[in-house]
Amino acid sequence: MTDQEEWREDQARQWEQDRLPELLALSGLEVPDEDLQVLSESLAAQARRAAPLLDGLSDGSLAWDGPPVLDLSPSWPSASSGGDFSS
Amino acid sequence: MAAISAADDLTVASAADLLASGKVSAVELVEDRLRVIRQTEPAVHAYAYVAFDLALHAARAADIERARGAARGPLHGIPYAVKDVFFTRDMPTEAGSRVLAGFVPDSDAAAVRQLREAGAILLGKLATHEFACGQNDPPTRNAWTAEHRPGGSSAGAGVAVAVGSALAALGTDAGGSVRKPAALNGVVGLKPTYGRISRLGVLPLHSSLDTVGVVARTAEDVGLVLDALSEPDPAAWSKPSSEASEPRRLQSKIRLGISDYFFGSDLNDEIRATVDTALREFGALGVKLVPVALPALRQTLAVGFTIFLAEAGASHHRWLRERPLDYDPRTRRVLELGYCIPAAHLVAAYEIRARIKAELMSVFRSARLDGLVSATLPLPSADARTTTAADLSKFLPYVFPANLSGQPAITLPCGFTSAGSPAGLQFIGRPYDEKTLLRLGIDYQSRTDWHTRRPPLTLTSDA
Repeated sequence: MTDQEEWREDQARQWEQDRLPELLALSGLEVPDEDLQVLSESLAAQARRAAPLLDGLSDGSLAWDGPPVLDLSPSWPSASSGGDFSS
Repeated sequence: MAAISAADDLTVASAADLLASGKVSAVELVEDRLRVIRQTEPAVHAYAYVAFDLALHAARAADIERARGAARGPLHGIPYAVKDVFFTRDMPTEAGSRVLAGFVPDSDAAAVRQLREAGAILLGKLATHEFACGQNDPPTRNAWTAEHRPGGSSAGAGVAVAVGSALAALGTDAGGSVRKPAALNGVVGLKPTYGRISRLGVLPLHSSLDTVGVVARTAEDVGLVLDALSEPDPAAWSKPSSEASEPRRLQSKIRLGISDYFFGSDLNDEIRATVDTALREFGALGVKLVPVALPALRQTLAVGFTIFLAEAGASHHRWLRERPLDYDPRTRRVLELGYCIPAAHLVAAYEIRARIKAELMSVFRSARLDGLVSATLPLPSADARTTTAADLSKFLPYVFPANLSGQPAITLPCGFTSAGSPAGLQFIGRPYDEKTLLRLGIDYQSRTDWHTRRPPLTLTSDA
């Protein structure tokens, strides 16, 4: 395991032990005890899934150099011209 | 009833012809579909609620209108059903959850209202995974193989149309939830452009992904329903123009992109063979197939899951706080997980989603594409006895891109595996260019008979 991978695993464990209950308490959600273990494992798996996205943005390999992405709607800007991409 | 003795071959279009010619009344047609519901429900459990009396009442009114010469169009008297996440003013909307048990909204969803205005007859509400989350196991069975999963979350829509207990159905599609059950049950499913159909009165789950979709037996039928749903979503940033309703080109000029992303090692060999055969069919029609590279699609699942979870958690925050124990635990946990997604992950997902969308726009433009073509799903239906919700992510890679980009996408039945599971062919189109997808589907279905195959159900005697 590389240092980087080890650090990620530590982060995942930290979520499980400390941050997840804190976050849930802040959220106002009363999470049943039976959910906590499943939730922490799922969150760690999701964090591993999302890690390449953060890495890709950081190292530029997935960066997007187009216009700002404030428009989070996936509707396409040229739809009013009947699906033409020219505008 | 002789005119509809071949009930299993009925489509929206053929039923509309029977109604228009006076060979069948709306009451007869609805009574016939209610008979099919009684026969098939014990086996497939596609419906959450059947409105026997309301449907017949509406059918009588439709017949009176037609007798006065006031038929409203091709959907006048056509029986259909909606996923139980659409508000209906006269029947419960429970979304498969105890959270909404007994809830009857004050008004119809905009899509339901438009179909009522078009004269269509609502038969009832269709089963769904709880709040369309895809985590629990609704009772719905696959129309072709009872032990297999029917696909979700619009499971009831795919199954009801496949067995003929509705001639058409509305569902919702945020991660393939219309196309998956349509493909796995051998029918047509359209996810229109994001914002193309109003979501007013549809229980929200994923604000930037949710799209109202249509399921029917033929592409022609899907087009007839889509034509009646002309009211765009208020959240749409742009609206379709009238010229967008016409196909862009003649069939012989159509250009379809083929990307390695959709033909990788995850694609089942038998599904691949059905798609190859379909592509040869399109080649014979003069459609040009163009290889294209879409490297950003490799991030589809990481981006899609992150957005999917976070938006679902946000949508349910209030009920999660107030009524956590009324959720199925599997649904609750995934919603809680969504609430815990780090903001940095979500921002990264939105940014890379913009890259995916930009790449698709660029490739469509540079290669002058009318669409992308792929299998709808890489795998045939899964055995419910040996799989869990966690296995279902394997069904997402080909359907999720169109949700992330907002493009329209359609699935057409294109064959079967050796075990008898239906396979689906997917086209992803240009924004607001649903008509080209429907044209492709209509032409394909004029040359093939996959859409005429019916599930080998053991029916219950007529009640």
